[in-house]
Amino acid sequence: MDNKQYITRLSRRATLNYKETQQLVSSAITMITEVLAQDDLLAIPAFGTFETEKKDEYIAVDENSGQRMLYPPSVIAKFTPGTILTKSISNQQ
Amino acid sequence: MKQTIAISAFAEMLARQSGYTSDFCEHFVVEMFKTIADSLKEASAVSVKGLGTFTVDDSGNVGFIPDSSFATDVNAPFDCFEPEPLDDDVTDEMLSMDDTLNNAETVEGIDDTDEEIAPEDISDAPSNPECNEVAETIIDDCPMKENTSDEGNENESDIMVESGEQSLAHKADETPETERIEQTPVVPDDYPEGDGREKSKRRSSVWAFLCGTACGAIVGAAVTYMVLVSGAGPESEEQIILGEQQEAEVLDVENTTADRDSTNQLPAVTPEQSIDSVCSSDTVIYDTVTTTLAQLSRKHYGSYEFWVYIYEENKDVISDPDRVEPDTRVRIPDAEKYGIDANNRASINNALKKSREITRQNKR
Repeated sequence: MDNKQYITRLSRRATLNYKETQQLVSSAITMITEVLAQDDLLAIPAFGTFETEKKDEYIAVDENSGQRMLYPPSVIAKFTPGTILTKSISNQQ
Repeated sequence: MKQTIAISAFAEMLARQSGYTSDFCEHFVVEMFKTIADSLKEASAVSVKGLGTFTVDDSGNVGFIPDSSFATDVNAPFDCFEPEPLDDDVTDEMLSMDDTLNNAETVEGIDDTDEEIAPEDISDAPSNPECNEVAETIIDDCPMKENTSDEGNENESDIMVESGEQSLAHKADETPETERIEQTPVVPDDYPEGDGREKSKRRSSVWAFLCGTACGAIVGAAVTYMVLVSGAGPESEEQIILGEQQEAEVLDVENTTADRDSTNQLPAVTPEQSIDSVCSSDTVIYDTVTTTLAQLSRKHYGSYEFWVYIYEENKDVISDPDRVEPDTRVRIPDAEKYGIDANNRASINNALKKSREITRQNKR
C-alpha cells in the first residue's frame, strides 16, 4: 500500500478531507521526529514503540571501491511492534 | 535520560501545533496507526511518506524501514560526519588501543629515567684514570656517597644564595688540594653532581620567583593605596553622580532633571533597583521556538508539561500558545520561580492544571 492509498483510507476513518489528513499526518510525523530527536520513546497503544538507537563508529569495506572506511556514529530510528499488533497479524495469516 | 511519551501527551503536542483539539488529535493518532495495522493484515507493506515503510514477513514479524528524510532528521546530531577512508596499515586494534599505547609510552618513559639513574651506569662514568681507584670505592659505597654529595650540593646552594660569588671564591681558596681530589670523584660526572646542580638551579629559580612576586605585591599594594588615598574624594562623587544619571536614564525615571547638586535626592533614584534589574536580566535565558513551547519545556525543564510557564512569562510576545510563530524569541523563566521539577508529580499536576485553565480561557 502506497502513501496515497493510506492517506485516502485514513481520511475516511478520521472524517477529514484528503488535504487535511495529509497535513495532520505530516504534523504528526514532525512531532514524532522531534520526540525521537530528544532521545525519548513514543509508545502507541496496540501498535508499538518508536525509539532511537545509537550506533557507534565502525570500520567496514566499501563494496564499490573495496576500500576500508571508518563510518561515523549515528542515531537510527527503531520501531518495536507491540504484542497486540504481532498477535493480530499472526492470527490473520 | 529517555522519557516515554504517552499518546495523550503526544496528542496534546500535536493539538498545539495543528490547532485541532487534543481529543481529536488523540483520536486521529490512534486511527493513523490503526490504519497501518489494519493495512498490514491485507498488504505486506504500508508506506507512509516522511515516516517510512512498515513490512510484514512470512512469519508475521513486523519490520520498519525509516524514510530517508525521517532518518536524516533523527540523525541530525551526527549528520555532519562522513565516512573516512582508512589506510591499509590502520587496524581495528590500533584504533581501539590508542589509550593503552599512550599508557605504554608513559611507562616506557618511566623506565628510561630508571635506566638513567641505574647504578651500573655510574661505573662507566669516571674517565679520569687517576681517580679510578677512588671511583671504585665510591661505587661500592654508592648510596651513602650519594647522600653526602647531595648534602654537599645543598650546602653549596645555601652558601650561593646567602653570600653570592664571594662565598664561592672564598670556598675555592679554603679547600685544600686533597679535598678537591676527593670531591671530584665523589661527584661522578653524570649522576649525583648533575642532580645536585638541578636542585640548586630549581631552588635559586624558586627563590627568585618568590622574591619577585613579593616585590611585585608590595609595589602593587603601595601604588593602589596611593591611588585610592589621593583620588578618593572628588572623583568618587562625580562617578556616583554620573552613574546615577545613567541609571536614571536607563530606568526612564521622570526626575532626571532634578538638581544634580542635591545629593539627598539622587540616592533616592534607587541604585539597588537598577542593580537588581541588571542582575535579573543577566540570569534570564532566552531561546527560540522551533515548533512548540512544549519542546522548549522538554529541553529546559526535562518535561513537556511546563510549557505553560514559558507562555506565562512571554504573554507579551505570544498571543496564542497553540500557534506560536517559528523563530519567536522567548524568555525561559527560572525553574525555581514556578517550582518546576520534572521529577515531582505535584509540580507536573500543577502545570497540567494551569494548561487546562489556559485552554479554557482561549476557547472563550
